[in-house]
Amino acid sequence: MRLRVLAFAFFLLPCAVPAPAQHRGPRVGGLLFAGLDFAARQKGDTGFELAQAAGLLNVGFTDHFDAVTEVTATPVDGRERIRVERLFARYAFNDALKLSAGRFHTPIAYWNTAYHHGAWLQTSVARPELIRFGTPLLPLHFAGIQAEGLLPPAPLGLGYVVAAGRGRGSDPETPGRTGELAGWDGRPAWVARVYSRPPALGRVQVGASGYLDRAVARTGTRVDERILSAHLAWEMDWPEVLAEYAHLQHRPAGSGGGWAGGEAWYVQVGGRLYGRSEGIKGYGRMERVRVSAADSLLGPLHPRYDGAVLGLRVDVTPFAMVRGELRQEQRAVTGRANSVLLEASVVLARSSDRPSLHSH
Amino acid sequence: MFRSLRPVRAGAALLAAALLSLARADTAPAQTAARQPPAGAVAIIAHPRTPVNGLTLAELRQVFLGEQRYWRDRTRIQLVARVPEASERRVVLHVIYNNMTEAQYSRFWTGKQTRVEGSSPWPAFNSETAREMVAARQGAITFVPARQTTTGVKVLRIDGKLPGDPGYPLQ
Repeated sequence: MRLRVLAFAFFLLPCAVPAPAQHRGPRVGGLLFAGLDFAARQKGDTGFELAQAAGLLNVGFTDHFDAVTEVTATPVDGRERIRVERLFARYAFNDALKLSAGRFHTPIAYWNTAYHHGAWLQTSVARPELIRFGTPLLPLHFAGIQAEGLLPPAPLGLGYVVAAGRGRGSDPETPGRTGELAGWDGRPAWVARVYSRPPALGRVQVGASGYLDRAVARTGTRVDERILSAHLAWEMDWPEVLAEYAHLQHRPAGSGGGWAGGEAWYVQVGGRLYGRSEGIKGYGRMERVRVSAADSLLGPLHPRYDGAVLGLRVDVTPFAMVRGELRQEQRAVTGRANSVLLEASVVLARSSDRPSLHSH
Repeated sequence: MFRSLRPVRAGAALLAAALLSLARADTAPAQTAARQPPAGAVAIIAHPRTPVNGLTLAELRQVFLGEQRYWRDRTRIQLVARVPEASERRVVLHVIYNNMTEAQYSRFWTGKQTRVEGSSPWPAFNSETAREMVAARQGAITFVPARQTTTGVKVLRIDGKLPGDPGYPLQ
């Protein structure tokens, strides 16, 4: 109830706070990601399939107030499942404070908020296990209120994100999407991230996140949850280094007992060639998940995992690419499996806010 | 006797003033020539009502990388950028965007748009169009060859320096 009141107050903000905006009508920007996959799996299906398609729509009503939605179409059992992945409204007071309300990707992992459902943006075909859609490890979606902004001084490129709302329980109707641990205790989950993105270094970011929640396990037991994560993203193409680590802890709520949990990490390294071969990029990734059997939330799900990926991505144009990768994975439940994944993918971008002022 | 010299004195004063003014006129182009920016220098120009007269290079990068999206008077920053092939764009990609190639630049802005952290700069097909866009839109900022006319816009100091000053970073 309190969240509803806060959300309502949020939507009144644009009326209450005057801004020196130059109103020029709504700005509309859109992106569409689409692709075609071929997978050959040692254990599982082999053949062609449509990759998940994702559409992003951003409408700027004023210079300070905008709304965003991201919708995906995922092939499931021969049908396309349409889902709203992100939907939020945002009011920007300035660069130091932007308030949003709606549904987001949880800022608990870098990959989750850097690429969203735009698989074209990521170097590899699939996400790491730590943040794979459907993983029980992290709550990848979050519904509630979020504040974000930049902090001085400029050379450090410091920023923060703080959010309160529903974490594990934000997506209860679809098992697996937020951990297959549906249910909401009614208490808000909290997530916070601080990061540094020094402008002098370009596309480099280091940061850390913390997450607190009370989740409901499959057994119906309420479980206190706390997650700490850290990331390094060096996306300069040569080299490209992405590394994330998450420390997961759980205990039965109110027990006052000890915490049990585990850790998960991945390291991905890539490099793009120079000159005429600039479109070619090789990459490799190692990843691991270890969770104690005593973990009251994740232990019964046996999420133990080891994975290695070796791949090649070729950007045919700035908006189209093909990539292929060899994967070797070992899960606690299904054992070792090798697979080959190929994907052709495109991104289409459109924006309505271009001026018509052109002189030649 | 001295009274009769008064017109001569006045004439001498006038002559001195004229000579002085001629001398100044003579030295003025020399000063301008000393400040004439080199051919490859790039000027950062902004709408005249932009609430800053200069930026540090770090702040300039934050603006052009889309990290800083508002001026301190809360006006939204609108980036304008020359389309590829422009020499000043190469300087900006090298200095501000850390040696990005055109393909990397394109991917960079697609990523920003996906993260809803900004949309790609308005494209300008020549530097005169870029100047017109900046002059017409409050909050707009762009880069042009430093030798180009800058009527109707404000040239921003970068690290306290103007194009042509020793140590100016965008050249």
